Amino acid sequence: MISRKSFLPLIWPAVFYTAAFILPVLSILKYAGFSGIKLKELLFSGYYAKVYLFTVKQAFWSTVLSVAAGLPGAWILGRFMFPGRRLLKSISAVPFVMPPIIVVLGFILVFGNSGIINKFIQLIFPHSKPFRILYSFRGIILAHVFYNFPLTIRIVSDSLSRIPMDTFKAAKSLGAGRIRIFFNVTLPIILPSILTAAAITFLYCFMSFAIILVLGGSPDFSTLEVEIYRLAKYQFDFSKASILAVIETFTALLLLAAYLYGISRLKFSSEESSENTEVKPPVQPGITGKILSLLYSVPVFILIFLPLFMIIMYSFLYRPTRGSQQIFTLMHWIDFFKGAGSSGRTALKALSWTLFIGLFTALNTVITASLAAWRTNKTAGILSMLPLGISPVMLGLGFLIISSRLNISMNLRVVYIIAAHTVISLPFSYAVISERLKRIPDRIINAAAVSGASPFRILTTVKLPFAGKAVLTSFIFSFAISAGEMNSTIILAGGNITTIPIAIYRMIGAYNIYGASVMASILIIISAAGFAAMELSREENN
Amino acid sequence: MNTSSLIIKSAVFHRKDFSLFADIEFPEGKFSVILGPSGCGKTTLLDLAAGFITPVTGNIFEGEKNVTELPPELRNIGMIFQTPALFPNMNVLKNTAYGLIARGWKKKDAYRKAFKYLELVNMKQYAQRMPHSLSGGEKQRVSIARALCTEPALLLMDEPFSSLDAGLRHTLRNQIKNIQEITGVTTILVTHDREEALTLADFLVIMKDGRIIQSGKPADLWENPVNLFSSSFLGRTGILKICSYRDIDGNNTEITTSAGKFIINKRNFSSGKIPEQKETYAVIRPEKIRIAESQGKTYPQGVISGIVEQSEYSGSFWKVRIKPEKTTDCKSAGDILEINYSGKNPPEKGIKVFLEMDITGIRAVTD
Repeated sequence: MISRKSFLPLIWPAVFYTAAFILPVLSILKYAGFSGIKLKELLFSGYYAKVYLFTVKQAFWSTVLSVAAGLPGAWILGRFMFPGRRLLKSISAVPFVMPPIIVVLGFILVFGNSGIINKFIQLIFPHSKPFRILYSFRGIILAHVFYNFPLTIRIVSDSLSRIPMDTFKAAKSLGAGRIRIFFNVTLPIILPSILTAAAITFLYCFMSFAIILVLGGSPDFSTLEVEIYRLAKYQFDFSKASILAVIETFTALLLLAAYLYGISRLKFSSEESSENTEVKPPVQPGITGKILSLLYSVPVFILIFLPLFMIIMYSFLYRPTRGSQQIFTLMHWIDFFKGAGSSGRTALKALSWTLFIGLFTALNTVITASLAAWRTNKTAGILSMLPLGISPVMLGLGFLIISSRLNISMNLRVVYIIAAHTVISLPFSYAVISERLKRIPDRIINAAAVSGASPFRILTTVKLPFAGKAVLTSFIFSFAISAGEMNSTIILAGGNITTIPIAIYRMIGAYNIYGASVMASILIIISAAGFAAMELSREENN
Repeated sequence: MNTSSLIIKSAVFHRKDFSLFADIEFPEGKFSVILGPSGCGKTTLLDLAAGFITPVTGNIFEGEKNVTELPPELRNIGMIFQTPALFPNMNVLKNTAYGLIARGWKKKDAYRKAFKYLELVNMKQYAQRMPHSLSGGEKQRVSIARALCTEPALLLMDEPFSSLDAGLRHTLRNQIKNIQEITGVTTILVTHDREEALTLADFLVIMKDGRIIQSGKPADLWENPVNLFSSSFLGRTGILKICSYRDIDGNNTEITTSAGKFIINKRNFSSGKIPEQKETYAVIRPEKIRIAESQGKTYPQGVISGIVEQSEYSGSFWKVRIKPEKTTDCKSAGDILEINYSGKNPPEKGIKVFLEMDITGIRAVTD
């Protein structure tokens, strides 16, 4: 029997969700609808039409190239057994948890005009001009591909390795050769997963922010997301910003609908593969297969680790005067720990803000997600996924509108930031915790209930301890998300609040690459914890 | 249908800590069943027959043709698996016609033939349905049609009924048997279910630890097991350990067990002669023993006594386990007898009964 009391735990999630997600979205809708500016006017203004087209164009090419770059990896991972296979599988998750600003900094250090690649080229051809790839369309695409190709590797190789062995045997026994099996059997079965990877990649790139902000730079390479930020933050034009936000969300929803339609046409019941059937194990490749695997995985290792390595290395370098050689130094780290010098002070301040916001975000996320997962039901599941549909910049805009309307003090901005970060981490946390809670055998809950425990007591003494690891995982992951989050933070933070990603962004702008590298190294460590938490939850779910 | 026998000649295959040795001929046009416990290598043997794996040494012939090095797609086989393994992206008709199209048939002709085989398995009306909309039994029937549609020389089945529930399993089993009789295709089915094996097989092969223990007609294997494993794996059997022999007249031998002494013909030794050194057991099927009214004559007719251990009702009769009483100097070593009792009330646990054994049904087998 469901008592009225058993709904008590849902009060906080409901209040929080309404205030931190529904209200900001509604206020944007309201601004967009009653602002007096016509949608047509804005879109035909030329500039915004160009921005819109560019947003779609860069997302399209990023998606095509990310999927193209990821597919060979998916094939190798799903089909071959080779040295470093496990490593390739785990590091393919690295870019997911790397905050975009880290990728940006890493790219500057690797592909920038005086990055390692150009240095290398000039070492061989001293008189050649530097190879310019950043701050251009190519630079944006390259960064997006780096960020997203592992997604294709993961999703498609998962789907490949779940095809039952018997399906291949059946095709062979019926006289089908390799090529026919690939086109008739394998490809149609993995096609939905390729489409899924492409759809997610497109959405990521469509709403990409930090990469465009830094690597795009000029109005020629601006996207909706960056325009919303500029309009809200610098021109206080909430109306235009809101309209752009609505257009952005509408486009995303349209794409999502197209994707769902496509998948429903393509997807066959996965019922057969979910049975406990033997799947085709990866095979020892022949010499060609081995060479191909190495030719793919070695550059991937380098591509993923080189930027991270360069960041950490730069945190230990210093150039005393212009034109002199860089020397090894502990100076930046010493400054940082002492809070000495301007960049040391900024860094220490940024770290304290990051820790403060991160801890409260993680705490709030875990509490909200646990309480919402209290009674597992479909509605909570769907509601928890909705925040994925709007961009963090848009969320930030919503908060800005509310605070300007209600005349709320700017000192409360840290609360908005925590709330925004919580909304952003909620989908993942809810999924992890509710998935675990679902696995508690009913008889254990019944045993507690017949012993006289109230539903709330059952939650705190049986359910949550059972889901302990999941709670810890989502705590760490939420913390990592918050620490790396820049989009909603930059729009909400006034001059007095600086988190690590914002500090890195500003230091890059001020050409303080060494200081940025120290901050980024710390962020890498936090992200590594997030990565470990994600791997832990994957293992637990397997 | 152009069917042929399958001959596996001294084939050896190794995988990690498992090795298989097989030397066997599956007769043309017959329903052969490979029976054995999990991990005995029966699926590996089937994979060899299909060409999914190649033997390290030895040869495989389809009739006269040496197919050892031929990949499965170039052999003329049909295969049915534990799961239906239908291609999820194709409808029933396309699944069924797949093999023909892969062989270069025109679609129209391939579909016409596919319809014929769908009709054979009563699935014609589902031709346009997608696999996910079918039940487990329906899917498996489509997979049978698909395997037969290419009119293979050899039909291989790897525990095709194991994922179905009992009722469906029974129906499908009968259907398969009928289809095999109609088409006359040489069929090899792998199973660990002895009832299934005994019902279906024209030719039965028993395997253990990567070796073929025995092969032949099911009734022969039932009555003349070559060893203790073969005897007990095929069905309920009584076991008495033999501790000594005495030659009577060159043809007959007196054996001594803890339960008594019996005189059996030398033919009833699985090896044809008294085995040396190896431990030997007298095995006897339940139908060869009945409860005697009185003690009667004990030697050499084969009447012994025992204590009832357990009676288990099985529908039409009772399965009774009896612990034989020790009457000789032999050690008993876990001896047990099984009988079928068809009376209304079974003998109660703990009471003493006299058992009359048909001594021609006693087989002396090694471990």
